[in-house]
Amino acid sequence: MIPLTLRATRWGDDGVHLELDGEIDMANVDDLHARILAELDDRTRVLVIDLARVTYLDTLGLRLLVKLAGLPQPALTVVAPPGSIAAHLLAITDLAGHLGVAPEP
Amino acid sequence: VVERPGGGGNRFEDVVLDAIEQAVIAADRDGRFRVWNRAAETLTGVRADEVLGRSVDEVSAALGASSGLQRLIGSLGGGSSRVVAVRRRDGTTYQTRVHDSTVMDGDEQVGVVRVAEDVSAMVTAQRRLRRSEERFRTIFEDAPLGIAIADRRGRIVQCNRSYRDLLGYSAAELRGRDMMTLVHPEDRAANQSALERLRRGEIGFFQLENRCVRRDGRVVWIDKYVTVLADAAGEHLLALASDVSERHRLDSLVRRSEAQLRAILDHAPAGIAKVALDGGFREVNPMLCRITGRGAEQLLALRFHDLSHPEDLEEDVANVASLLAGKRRGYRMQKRILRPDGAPVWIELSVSLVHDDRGTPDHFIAVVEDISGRRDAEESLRREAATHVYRTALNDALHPPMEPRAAVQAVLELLAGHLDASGALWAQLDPSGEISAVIDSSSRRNVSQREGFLRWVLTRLSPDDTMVATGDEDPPPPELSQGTAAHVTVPLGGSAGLSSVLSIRHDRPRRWSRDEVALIEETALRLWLALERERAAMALRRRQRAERRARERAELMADVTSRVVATTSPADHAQRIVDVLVPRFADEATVEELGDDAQLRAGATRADRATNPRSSLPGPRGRLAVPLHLGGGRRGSMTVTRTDADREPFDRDDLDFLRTLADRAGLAFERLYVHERELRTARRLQQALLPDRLASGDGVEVAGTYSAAEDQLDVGGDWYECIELEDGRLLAVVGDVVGHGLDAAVIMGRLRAGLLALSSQVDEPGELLVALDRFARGPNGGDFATVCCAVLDPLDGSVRYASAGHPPPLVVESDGGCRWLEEARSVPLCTFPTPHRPTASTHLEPGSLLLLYSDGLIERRGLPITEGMRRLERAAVGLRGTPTASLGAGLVDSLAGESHDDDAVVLVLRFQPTAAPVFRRSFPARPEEFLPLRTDVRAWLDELGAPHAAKRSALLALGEACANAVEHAYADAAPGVVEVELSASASGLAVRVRDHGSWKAEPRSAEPLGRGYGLHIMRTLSEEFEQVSGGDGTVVTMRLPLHARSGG
Repeated sequence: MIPLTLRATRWGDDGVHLELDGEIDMANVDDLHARILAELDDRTRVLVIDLARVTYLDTLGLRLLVKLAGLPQPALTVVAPPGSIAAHLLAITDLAGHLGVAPEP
Repeated sequence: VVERPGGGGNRFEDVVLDAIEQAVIAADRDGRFRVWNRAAETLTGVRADEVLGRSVDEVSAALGASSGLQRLIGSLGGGSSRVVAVRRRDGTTYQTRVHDSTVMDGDEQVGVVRVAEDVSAMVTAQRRLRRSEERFRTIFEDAPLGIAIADRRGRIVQCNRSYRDLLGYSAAELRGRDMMTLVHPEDRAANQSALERLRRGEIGFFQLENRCVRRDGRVVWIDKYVTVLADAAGEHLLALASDVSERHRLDSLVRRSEAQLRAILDHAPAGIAKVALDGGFREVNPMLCRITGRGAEQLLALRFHDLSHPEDLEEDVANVASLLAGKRRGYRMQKRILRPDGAPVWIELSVSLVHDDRGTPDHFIAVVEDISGRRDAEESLRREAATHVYRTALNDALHPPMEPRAAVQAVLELLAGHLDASGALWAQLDPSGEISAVIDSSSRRNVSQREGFLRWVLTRLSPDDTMVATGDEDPPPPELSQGTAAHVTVPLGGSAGLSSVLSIRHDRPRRWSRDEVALIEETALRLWLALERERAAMALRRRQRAERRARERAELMADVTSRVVATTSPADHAQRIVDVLVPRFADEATVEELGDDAQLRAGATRADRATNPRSSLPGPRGRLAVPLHLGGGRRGSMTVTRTDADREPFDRDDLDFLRTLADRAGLAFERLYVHERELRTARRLQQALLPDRLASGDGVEVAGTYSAAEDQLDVGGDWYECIELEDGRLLAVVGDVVGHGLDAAVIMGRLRAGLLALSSQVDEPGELLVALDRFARGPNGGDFATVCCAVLDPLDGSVRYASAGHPPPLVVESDGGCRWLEEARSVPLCTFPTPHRPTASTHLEPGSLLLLYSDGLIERRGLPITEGMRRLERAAVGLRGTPTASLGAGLVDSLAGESHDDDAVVLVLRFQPTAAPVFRRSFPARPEEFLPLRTDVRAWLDELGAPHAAKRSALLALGEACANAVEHAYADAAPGVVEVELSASASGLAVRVRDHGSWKAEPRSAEPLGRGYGLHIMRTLSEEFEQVSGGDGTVVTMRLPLHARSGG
């Protein structure tokens, strides 16, 4: 199984911070999608996905982020520090401007 | 007429005649012998019965001419008094003093009396006495008196022949023998008590008669005179002994024959008197009148002791008393009597007590002999003996080597002791006549006491004459003289004038005999000469010593200087200095140099004594400490100590020497300090500047070696560097800055820093050199320097290089082939402006070595550079199999060997690619395959040494291609196979992904980010992208950069 861990932290009633650690590709992207949705409920208004520790990410992973960003609620912020593979990929695809991207949490 | 008794009668006359020591011969007017006493028998060896009653002619005829008697008996009455030489019967000769007198009866001559005395011994003795001390032993040995010298305890040290004959022992038997054991047991007590008094100093001498036992057991009467001889070694006893046995026999006879004395008194050759018990003279004979210088009437009005010298009276009275007390039968003594004019006469007095018929003491018989001659001989003999002892002691005291002050003191004490004076002093005068030093035999006298008298004497002293003062007239003033009455003062000084004075003094008026004055003068002269001799010897020694020490110091200085030249560090310098100083100059030496912070910077101590390694106490011979003069407010010291008692103390010259040495040492320290500081800084700088870790790519082993010049005194400007460029290639640089030391190290550092900064901006080695040259000409640049740069691609072994005046790199193939990279050469940095510097390229086969180095490795004094290069080729080929890390050191060792006089650096790059250049993988088109694929590709890229950015791009591009294959090629069918091939080359990474499915037209799905994004990503990441679909599936071909370019 592709190693990927997910650590969720909540602030208040409506904030969820998800820290991903591992690799994301076709093999586990759907599973990841389900695990993220499981962390959300109706009250969740703010979602932060931290990709600093993700060592591989492909277009399917990006597609998942776009899907999450398209949800009416919560509002998504992606953390992709410069030099990370996520930042590199977001730059190449020019998606950084369309997703809420923060260099650090 | 005196006649020989005809038998039985006239016995008294015989006795008296025989009692007389002189030979008495008398003849009547017919020329027939009438008297021939015992002394005559002894003297001539002819018995009385052979001559009595016969005429002179008859006797002469009977005895024959050969008897030699004619001279004694011939011309009897012919002369008054003379000395004649007579030969005995046994052939020996002797000197005889004869005195003739005629016997008158009224006006008629009735006979002639001759008195003869053997004076040969005395004549001999007196003649010899006049000679110098060297003859003393002969005199001593031949003296007619028995003489013995004994130590204080009475053990005989030396005795003469007469003494031995007296006692019948040999010299060996007597030596060391206690004199007392020779004395008859009954007489020992008296002897012992007199000896004790003598030893205690209560009396100056004693004289007594006692019996001694000869070796053959015979008892002899000895007249003994004992006195003390003082000399330097202590006191000795001098004993003079003569045999008086005969006299004793006679004395006893005299007592019995008193009645007949009268008849011969008139003609007796000795003074004879009958003396009443109260001492009054009853009868006197003419001889006594002659001896005493008085007429018979005068004498008869006197008592015996009226004649006596006052000093001798007491003993005489005591003797008389003991006689009257019945303790003795008679006595004999030597004493002085005074003639009417006061002149003393030495006599030998024999007194016997005569009893009357009832046994009551009645009167004395006194026999008086004039012994002035003998006494004088004895006295001068005694004096000679004492003088001999004195001179011996004087010789000892003045024998070199002597300590002048102690010698003077000893001589003064000897002289005063010998002459029985109260003291003596020696004064030294300076040229102006001032007293510069005074030595006195008595330490109790203080300076003013000595000098008061001395000044008084000096005002009266003529520089040429000895001053002799008895103290009777013109005595020194008491307040100046301090107990000096009589004195003898001797001026000394040779031609230079009065320089010294010897003065002997006595606290009472005293006469000084001519001999005494002569002895004082002799002593003074000898002392003065000895002191002069010692002074000259000392001056000579001092000059020789000064010369020797000056020479030693010069040698030391030369030695220190020559050793210090080779000094490499202050500690070594300090050690060398103390090593030279100990033990040649001192027993301990310490050199300490303090730094700016007053902390000990360099120091060394050396002590010659293991037992006293670091004693802080100054040695008994002294210590010198001088400062070291250093610059910059720093201080130091040099301390030397002499502890050995045999060493001479330090003197002024030693101090000067040490100061000079300290000055030089200080300069050397200063020079070393500057040099060392620079050297240390340069080394530290160089070490800091040389990379402590070299970059090495996968597939390339890199090792650098720095070898310092042999003498370690300097650092060169050689440097090397190897860094990984951003695209993964290795930049290897070796450079050499001209010059040495701090400056070279600083420039080297600048160049290296410049290189690091420029390497990321310039691609080609030639351009890098141009940029570096430009940098070096700038304000922080450097100086003439050579540099060689090579860039090695670890992926394919390609090399691009350029050299600015540097020796060419060497390539060594694994099979041992070599080639020099001699292209792309340009001038050294900082020479001519060079806008373009070429770059050349080559290629390394796997297993090849690339060697960059500095000229220190190949330059060897006396060898052409081509020879150095040939040697490097041979060495490198031979060593190519050794591990990379030790290869550089191996080259230095084999090329430089034991000595190389320049620094050298070697940078070794071994191209040893570990990864195959192609990666191939076929796998089923399932998502689960992606992770293992990525893991293996990552590992393969790592082995290639691909940089992080290149790996990331390759993985993303590969991932997108594979994802497309899985998602689109086999979307509706069972998953087929995906084939992946990656190959690395100099142009980059070629990636090919092939599937065997059929891609559907892309659906208009609701999915955001469709396949277009994957293509976009692949196109963006790769330099070339091609996707070709056919009947047999789709092939994606991409070329990605393997070395991320700057900014990429």
